[in-house]
Amino acid sequence: MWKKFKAWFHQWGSAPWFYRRSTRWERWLWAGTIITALPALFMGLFVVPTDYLQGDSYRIIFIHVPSAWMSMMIFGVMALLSLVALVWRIRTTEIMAMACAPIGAAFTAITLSTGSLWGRPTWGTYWQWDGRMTSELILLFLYIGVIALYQAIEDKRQAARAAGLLAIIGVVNIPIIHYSVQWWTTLHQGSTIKLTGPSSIDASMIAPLLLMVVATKLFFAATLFTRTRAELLVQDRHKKWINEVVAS
Amino acid sequence: MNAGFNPDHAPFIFAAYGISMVVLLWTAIGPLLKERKLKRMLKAALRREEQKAS
Repeated sequence: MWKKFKAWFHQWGSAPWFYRRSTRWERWLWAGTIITALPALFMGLFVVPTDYLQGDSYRIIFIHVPSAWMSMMIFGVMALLSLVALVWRIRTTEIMAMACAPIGAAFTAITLSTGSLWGRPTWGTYWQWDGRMTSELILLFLYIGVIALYQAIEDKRQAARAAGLLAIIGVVNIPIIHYSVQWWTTLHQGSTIKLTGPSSIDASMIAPLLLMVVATKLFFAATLFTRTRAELLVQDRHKKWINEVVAS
Repeated sequence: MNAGFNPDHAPFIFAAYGISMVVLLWTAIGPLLKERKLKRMLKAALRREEQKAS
């Protein structure tokens, strides 16, 4: 079992193996994204009932909450991949870690903008400098910092190591975002869905939310593969395996 | 099924979904186009090399 895992783990380090496998997996990931996202959107917008307290504006949660979870999860994945890349010096992992940053930044931007649009009819304001919103904004700056640092250094291996280190340090912001609603007085509501204990969300609203959670994860995996492959094409353009890939 | 949204909330809902769709499409399509363009360029370079060699 361990030997099998080790062999599988080492295969990820091979750029040609990754390129070919990810091309095959990506189609399924896109299909899964569409199959889960479309019914989630339809149910969230047109099927689930209006909330008795927040009215229709709560429908924004079906994109806001999955995006917020993704913004934190992607940063964690980026930090983990950066750590693996720093310890084992796997180039494909470095590229994957750096490919996480623009996707994570996109989800963070969506979280902030949809949260703001939800806040106006719900709280009467687009923005408040409270713990949750400010720490999420810091997350966006961290993503931008990782992207900028990676782009600023010409040697891409050095760039990935420097930006990866920033990602590893920046991961400290993730528990701050998560616990901010408990640590500080805030306009933002606490957790609606709890893994331990009963959730306060109505059962009819869970299905579109969970479908969208799955859709965003599949979307992340698919775009991560595409971005990694595009970067591999740039970095390995003079290598023989690229010629074979391009010719096939 | 709901017939329509509260007119006071509808602009916020559509703006939120609209912004999200634009950002996600840009995140997804950008690298796909980049990969396709790179492949086309590399293919052309490979063809030029083969022509030179022959």
